[in-house]
Amino acid sequence: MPSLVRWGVSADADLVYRALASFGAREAGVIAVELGLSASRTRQALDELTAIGAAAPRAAVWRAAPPAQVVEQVRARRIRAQAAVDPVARYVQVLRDAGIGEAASVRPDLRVRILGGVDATRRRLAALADAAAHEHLSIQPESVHSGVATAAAAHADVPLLDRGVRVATVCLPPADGDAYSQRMLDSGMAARFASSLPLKLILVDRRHAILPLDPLDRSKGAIEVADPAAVEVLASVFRREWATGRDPERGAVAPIVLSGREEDLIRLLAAGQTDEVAARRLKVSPRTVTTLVRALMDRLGVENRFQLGLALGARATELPGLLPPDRQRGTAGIPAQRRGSA
Amino acid sequence: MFTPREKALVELLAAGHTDASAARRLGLSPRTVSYTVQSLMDRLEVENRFQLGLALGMLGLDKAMEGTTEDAIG
Repeated sequence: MPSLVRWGVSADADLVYRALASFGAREAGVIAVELGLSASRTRQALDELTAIGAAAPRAAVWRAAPPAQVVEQVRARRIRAQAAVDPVARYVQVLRDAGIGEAASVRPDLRVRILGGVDATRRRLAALADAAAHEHLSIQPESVHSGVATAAAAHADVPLLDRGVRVATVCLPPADGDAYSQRMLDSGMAARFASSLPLKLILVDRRHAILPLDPLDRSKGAIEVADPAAVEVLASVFRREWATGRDPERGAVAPIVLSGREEDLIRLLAAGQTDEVAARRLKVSPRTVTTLVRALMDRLGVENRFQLGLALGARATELPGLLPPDRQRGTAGIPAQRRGSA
Repeated sequence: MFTPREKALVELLAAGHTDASAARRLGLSPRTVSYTVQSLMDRLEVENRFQLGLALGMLGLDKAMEGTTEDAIG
């Protein structure tokens, strides 16, 4: 009898399952007595087994599902749970859902082929882009820091857009802020931003899908999938990421220009001064300070000072020297490794 | 590092909720809400809500809020 504990099932539930599977169907009270478990722990264990489909009651008598079936269920459940947090596991899960996985090289019936190396992948992607008739979708989990890469990507998309091909991408929020997202949006490309993405994926006309051979090593090349059912599964991965991504048009940060007096005031408030102190420093009345802040809040469409801070903080790069240097880096209280990992 | 409660609260406040309406939404007492905000301010070493907003805004709210303590355990 395999242990279910290693698949994330609790020790109690594992014990109850073994008892049911080994000794046959019984009532909950009997199980409790035989195993020396309290009634509530037995009940909890049975609830857990019910939830994973490992046991079910019939007329108050509990029966175990066949071990092989249960192991397969808990294993799949475990992989799904891991896939939610581990990018490699997510990648494997995507392949498995699409019915490819390790079978890729030995299943010609799935119309899967390997593109060995970066150059072969790049050539194939270019050929597919040239041939694209109506749609080019991508998930881009790599961060775009380099302006060169960005410009190159933008150039590649323009002919597509000119031909009327719909270009949509789900990518990480751009590191260099507005400039990049604006360029993308200006070019007519649709984008969503997400902070964590399962894999790099390109879908052309919903007929070809390209994904990495090894999610951690791009140099190994890619897998091209042309099997309609597998492509459909991969398209659903795109749709899911698209649906949960952030729409940059809605979350867009509009530019703001501050007057000299507003700048002086914000600088004081950002340094932690109260309205009263700021008013004295600026030689204006406290009422004027309130009015200035209120006007700024109206302009930014926010209702309180927390939101005002958020709105100005998001524009910190446009407001050089305005915010205190230690805050400028946004480091206060956030350990370095947290910032780096984002 | 933010707790799920801090994350939920910041999202509501960023959406324009008052402490009272955020408290109702989250099923917390107003006191718990102000305590939660205070502990965030302490951790980010700021003294008022404007500065708290600035600090979170500069971090990028999405970025600052990703990775709650629960995620970190998993």
